[in-house]
Amino acid sequence: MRPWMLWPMALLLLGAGGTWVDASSQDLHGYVRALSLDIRGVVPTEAELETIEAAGEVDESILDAWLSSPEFEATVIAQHRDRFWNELEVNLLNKRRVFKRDNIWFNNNRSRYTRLQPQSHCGDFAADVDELNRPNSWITNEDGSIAEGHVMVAPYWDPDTPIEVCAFDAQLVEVSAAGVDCATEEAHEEQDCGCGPGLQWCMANTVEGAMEVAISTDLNERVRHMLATGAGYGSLFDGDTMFLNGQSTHFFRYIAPFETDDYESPLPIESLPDMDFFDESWVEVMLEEHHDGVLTAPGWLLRHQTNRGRANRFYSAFLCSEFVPPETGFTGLGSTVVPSPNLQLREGCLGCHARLEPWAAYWARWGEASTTFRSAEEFPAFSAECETCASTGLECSDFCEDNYIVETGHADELPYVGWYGPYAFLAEDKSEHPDLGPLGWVAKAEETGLIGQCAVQQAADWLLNADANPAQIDDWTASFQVDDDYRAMVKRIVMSSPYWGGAL
Amino acid sequence: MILFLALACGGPDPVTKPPGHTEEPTVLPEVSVIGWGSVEEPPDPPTHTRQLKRMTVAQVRDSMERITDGISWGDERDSDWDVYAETLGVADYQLRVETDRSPSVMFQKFLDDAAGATCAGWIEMEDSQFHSIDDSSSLEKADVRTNIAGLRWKIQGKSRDSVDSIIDDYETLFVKVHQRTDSTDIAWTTVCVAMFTHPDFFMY
Repeated sequence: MRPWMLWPMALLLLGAGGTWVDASSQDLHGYVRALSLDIRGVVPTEAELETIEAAGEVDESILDAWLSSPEFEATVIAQHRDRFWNELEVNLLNKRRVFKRDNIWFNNNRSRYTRLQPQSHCGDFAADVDELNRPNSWITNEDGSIAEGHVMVAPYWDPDTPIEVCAFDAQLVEVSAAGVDCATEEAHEEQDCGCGPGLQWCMANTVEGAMEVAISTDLNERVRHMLATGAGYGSLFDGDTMFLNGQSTHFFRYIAPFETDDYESPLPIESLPDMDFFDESWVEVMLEEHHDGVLTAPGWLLRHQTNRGRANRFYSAFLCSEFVPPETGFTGLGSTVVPSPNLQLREGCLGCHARLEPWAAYWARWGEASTTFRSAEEFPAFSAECETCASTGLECSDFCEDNYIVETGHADELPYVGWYGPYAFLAEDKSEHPDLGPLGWVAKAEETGLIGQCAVQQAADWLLNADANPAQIDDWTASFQVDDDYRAMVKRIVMSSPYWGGAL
Repeated sequence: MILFLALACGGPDPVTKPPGHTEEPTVLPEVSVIGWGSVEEPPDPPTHTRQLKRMTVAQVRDSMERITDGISWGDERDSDWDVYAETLGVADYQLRVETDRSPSVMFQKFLDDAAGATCAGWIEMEDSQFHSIDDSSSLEKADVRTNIAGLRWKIQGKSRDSVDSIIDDYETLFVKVHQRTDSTDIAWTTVCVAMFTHPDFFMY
């Protein structure tokens, strides 16, 4: 490094000790810059600066224009990503993943069904296949596996670049010889079902990543929609639409049906928009009645996979509250008594779980690590069948075993035998939570103004970078409760005295 | 050399010391509270009013590109700000859910790298708006100060009419670098880097 290159750093250090704290007393130029960076995420243009200098003030019309810009939408989305944490890395569906071995694509998870041995591959030779890519012949290996060779396929994720795919995985059959629909999860073990046309029923790693991004980004698009349409802030929670692009549409149409326990299309498959996989536009689609805005969005449910996690994140992100251990510390942990499975009663847990358990139950009708809705018709709160098998010692069905209380290890569980798992230990006055859904919690929080107050508090934290005066927060909250307009709330803050001495 | 060796090898052998020998401890001088002197405590920051904050990585990236008419740090496809986002503490909402907004050493190192590349590209670009004076090679004091005011306005958003002692510092920087390099381009690039790496740019 040349010595003169150190001068800028020396200057920086010299200049860093000045009045670098309070920003609310700076001049018009500082105000313009702060406004532009806070609202649009970038400094003003030279032309904008010259206009404002000539006027000697920031005209309200300029502020309104900035608040109406796409950049402001992006800024608010970024603020809400801090709430949602919407980023997925979840391995959407491993069993439908194809990858390369020796530069030939295949579905390793199906090898035991297609080539009769786990981990078996088709071999590096052209396959002898019929018009549906069904192998006419194959080689039988010493370990009993078979190798059928490969065919060329133009995959949906890169149709201009054909790839070599093992013939069994490239099969185009729609219904197997056994009568199984090859587009369903039952087809996974069918030897004569493959990935279908263009490998549509399978996905490569990069494709899976794009689908995860699309599912996450739906949440961002809901925030954008709220701002773009002027809808109230509450629409984030009670909105009845979501946003799909080509990648998420493909996932819900072609991939999700292979794991119906974990995934369901947010609207009937036949109602999904007809979009090319590469289509990056966002299409708004209507959701069914049981959806509760962002809190049941696939991107939220998959990011926060447990009902407790979902409740905890909502509590922090939208009610600005935290579960804090008691100052006295945890007590009663040394007991020799078998602890109750009811965390609302268990010593050391009840400080948080007495509240968390009933709140988690708002998501009880949504599968954990899943996007599926479990209706009261399919999953009644109480099942006589499950109660009977549990109490008589008869073998319970998988349905009962998987979803209902049929085994008890503690006396506290006895009253709940035969009940749908998420209902266990719910007090009577909380038993409606599963059927109210997360919107039930939102409604209660809105009664007390907590959601609005939290939104204002977070916006003030973002814009002021300081603890706002509580009375000022109350004022802003009162106005926000009336208009429910996020953009107007931001405008009130940046025009206020605490932001810049009331420069407007 | 022999003398050094003799001195090095000829010292007293510790084992020849009489048993029980201990050296007297050095008595340190007493220091009174008054002797500590005093420092001027910085005033408490005002409460409940907006406090300066560091630009986010995205804000720095976009602002530098806007100021320099599109000069990006990195290759044409990926800004190095995005490449180094994880290192710079940008939340990925998996491993990190809160973005680091501190003006850390790491941030300033990358800002320095970005400023060096950006300023060099900006001053060299065709039809560059870097200079606010007609003769970019002028060493006249008035021209230099005019150009500094123009750069402060573009980079830091400061009024071109503002009076600040740091303008003298920038002028000194320009002169010193020019003396050492005999290049106005290098001198102006250095001033540009100084402005981008100063809190006047990245704190707002």
